[in-house]
Amino acid sequence: MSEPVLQLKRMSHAYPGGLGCSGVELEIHPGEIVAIVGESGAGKSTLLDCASGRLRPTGGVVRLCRGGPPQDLYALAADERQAFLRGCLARIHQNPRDGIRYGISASGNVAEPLLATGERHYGAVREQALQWLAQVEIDRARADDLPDHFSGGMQQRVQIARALVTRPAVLLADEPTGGLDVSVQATLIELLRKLVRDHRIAMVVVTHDLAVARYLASRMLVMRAGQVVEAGLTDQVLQDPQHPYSQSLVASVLRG
Amino acid sequence: MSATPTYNHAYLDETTKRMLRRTILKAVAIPGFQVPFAAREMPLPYGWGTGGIQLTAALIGPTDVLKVIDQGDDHSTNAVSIRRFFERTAAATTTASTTKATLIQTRHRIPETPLTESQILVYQVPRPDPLRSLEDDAEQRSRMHAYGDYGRMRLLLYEQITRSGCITQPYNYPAMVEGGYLMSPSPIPAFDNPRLDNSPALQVFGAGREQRIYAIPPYTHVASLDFIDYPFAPERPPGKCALCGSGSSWLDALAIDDAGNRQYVCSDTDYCQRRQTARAEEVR
Repeated sequence: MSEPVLQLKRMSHAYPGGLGCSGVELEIHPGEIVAIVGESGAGKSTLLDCASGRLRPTGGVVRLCRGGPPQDLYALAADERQAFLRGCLARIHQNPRDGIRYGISASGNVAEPLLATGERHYGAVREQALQWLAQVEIDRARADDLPDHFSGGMQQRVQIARALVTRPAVLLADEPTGGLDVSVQATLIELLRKLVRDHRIAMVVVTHDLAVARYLASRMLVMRAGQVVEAGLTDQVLQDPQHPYSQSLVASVLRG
Repeated sequence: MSATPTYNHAYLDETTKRMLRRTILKAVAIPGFQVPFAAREMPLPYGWGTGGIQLTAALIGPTDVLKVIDQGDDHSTNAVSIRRFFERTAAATTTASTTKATLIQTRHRIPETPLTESQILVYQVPRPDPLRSLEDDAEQRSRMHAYGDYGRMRLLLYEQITRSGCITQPYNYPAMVEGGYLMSPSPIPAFDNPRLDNSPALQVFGAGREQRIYAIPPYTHVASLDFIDYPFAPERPPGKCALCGSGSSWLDALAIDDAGNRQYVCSDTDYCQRRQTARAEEVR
């Protein structure tokens, strides 16, 4: 099997006031989707923050591959880290408000990561932006509209195009379907799955929706109080949960 | 005119001038980087050139010849009052001639006449940070400068091209200094931007309210932001100056009657005047 593109080794983060996450182990390979489930405050978002270079973990190592050998993310200086992360890791936020700019056209939003990497040809940038908007099924006629005028699902798709336009090796998605109605959720998840498979992106998806996890992910981590309490193949964890918390989580969905 | 005896030379006290000079040196050492400084209260309101006037006060010596222009004009209120300020507080020799001046304080223009190595150009700057309109958080802005993270400024140009088919930034056109920092050229017309590049004169920029000084050392490469397929192409008002006939200078529109008729004349009054004089001599 190929080298893992993202590795978390005994990664911990303690906030001054208390718990973040502790001793997280994760390896993820190109084209693989791993779901992280757990209740609010379990440390899921802390884990994503640490893995995406936004929050220096207080313990352990985060390694990322970008073609070459694995790179310890936090051994890099802040400016090198930012340059390294561009084009190698992207993130999708639960709320599109955190991930896209509302004063900028949809195509501009998708173009921005390319411009940040120093692309100096307008035509080339524009073509790629339009092509990615087409991939996330945004009508060409609306490509230069402000995302403010878009529906929630469209905004989320603009966010996905913006995240993928630099061809990242790793995609971190935080509740990508939160706050959307069920039918929109279904098409969005299908779209994400297709794009991730086509471009062999490694994706970590944080969700509290076990249906999303089951549909998307091949592997799954269950987190509680900052710890990974159970990890394994999605079907295995969902059908035969070992840890009492996983059991109650699975049971709660079946009852609902 | 002799200096008013109750003021120290050039109004500011020596410690302040030393602080300013150290800031200028630092700004020259890091081209395009905005160096913070403790701006003093000056006897004119913010927005009238408090940054520029402090730089001039720190730089002006007994042998300097001072020229002050506002929108290229030597005779506007702002220019006249700043010139008189230094006549009174520094016994400065003043001039309207670009060639005779050793120190030129300017607002909104770079003189048409090419500058030389023995001259310093001081700019009055209202908003020193080109990223100010893009990012509210000052800490984040300084991080963007430190990382050379100027994608969002390019995005602004992208949006202009997408909307209008061309870059529509008429003035305050952002420029990269020696491939390092992005700077605001102050509200000079984009037409003047090429004059920032590789200038033999030292250029210093002062923003009093924002408390920032930055500089372009002589012979420094300054490149206006653009795209390969949409190169920087500043516009010039069409036509010739109605007074001197120049077809290459920056023109101001003057309303000449109540019917809305306008006349285009050079904004650089010294340049225009000299051309008019030369013309008159030719005729004679």
